[in-house]
Amino acid sequence: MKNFIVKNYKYFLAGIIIGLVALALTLMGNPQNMGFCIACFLRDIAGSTGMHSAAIVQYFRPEIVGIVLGAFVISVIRKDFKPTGGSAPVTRFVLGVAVMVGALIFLGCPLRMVLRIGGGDMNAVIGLLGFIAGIGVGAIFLNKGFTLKRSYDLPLLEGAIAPASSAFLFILFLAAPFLFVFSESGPGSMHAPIWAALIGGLIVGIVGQRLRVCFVGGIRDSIMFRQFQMIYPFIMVIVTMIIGNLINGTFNFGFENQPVAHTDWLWNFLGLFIVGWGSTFLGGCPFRQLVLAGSGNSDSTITVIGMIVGAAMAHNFGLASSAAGVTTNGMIAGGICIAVILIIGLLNRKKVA
Amino acid sequence: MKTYIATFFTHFGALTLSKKCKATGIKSQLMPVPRKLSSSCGTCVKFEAENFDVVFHSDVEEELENCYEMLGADQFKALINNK
Repeated sequence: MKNFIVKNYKYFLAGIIIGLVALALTLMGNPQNMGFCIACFLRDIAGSTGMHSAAIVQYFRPEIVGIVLGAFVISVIRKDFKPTGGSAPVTRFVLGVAVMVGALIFLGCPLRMVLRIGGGDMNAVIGLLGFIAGIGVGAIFLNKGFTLKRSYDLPLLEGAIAPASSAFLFILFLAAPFLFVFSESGPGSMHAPIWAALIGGLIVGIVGQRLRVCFVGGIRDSIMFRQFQMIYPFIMVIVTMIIGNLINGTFNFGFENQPVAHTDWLWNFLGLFIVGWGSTFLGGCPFRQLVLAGSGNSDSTITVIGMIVGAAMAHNFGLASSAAGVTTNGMIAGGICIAVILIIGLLNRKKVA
Repeated sequence: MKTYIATFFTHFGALTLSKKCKATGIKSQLMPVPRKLSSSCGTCVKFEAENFDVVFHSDVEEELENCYEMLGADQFKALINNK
């Protein structure tokens, strides 16, 4: 037991820190159960930069900048910063689009799924089942020889562009806010103060980089190797959120009337099924992609750009769900995403010698 | 007999080596790469052999990133670096 604690306390601590930051950001103004949501926040940024015009979800989220820069700074300090890339970038872009569409059908990335569960939202538990199923299918493909081929070392600049452009956009947001669009109502209008959001992102980015926190990786490693270390942060975020929400009086157990959520169980399941499967092929959840983008991985940067474009498409084509439920277009797009991921899976198999 | 950890650019590479180990009767295990060795979250193969290169053939080498000798529970010595 003592050995177990010594070996794993960091992973428990990581989950507690992420949970506390998410709680703090919610108390300071972020939407309920949305202290962090990589999908929602990238979608808000897409809206804020005019890539879509859904009026209620447009804001330049400093949390995203914080995560990328936090991962960048700590990876440089700890000599983990390594510009690499070249592993099927266009395929990764497409997977990024699919993952985002799946997340916006569910209404949240895996990180927000965890926060929603911690807020008592049982729709997110249905989502979790779909998520696990998606990762399971992805793991079968991995074991049958799925590969997007290796990455290569790249010039320093290639790895530095993601953190540099995140910082540039943030400065632009501070210096010339009139260039951006901001929601006047809805989730996009609800946000923590800029500096709190940035610092929250930095903390979570640093923790994420140091401990390789990944909401797909934990479940994947549990399924494939019976190794559970990476799942501890996942569990501790839920525990921290439940306690925090109970203290705060915001714990709302059940399916109905959950903040920024719908009750369509099939599409809650399938939305995160898409996210789980696509992310397993990508090698990490949306949060992990941001951290890797900050650590020099240009494959992840391309994935993040794919997610931003996917978010814009999701709102321009009416694919994203809302509290009112899933849209018909969203269901069609969900079907297309599953087909696309399947084709990518089938056509990227190599025979295992 | 020494214990080695081979890291790869892809999960596929690790899988290939693991199959090869099984076919030749070398004791091996697929597992996540130890944090100390990499900040990425790939798959590695831990195996036991007299000499680390007995298991590497061309299919494996293409995907191989590095091979480490395990000196202790969290101590590794890099043997190659196939960047």
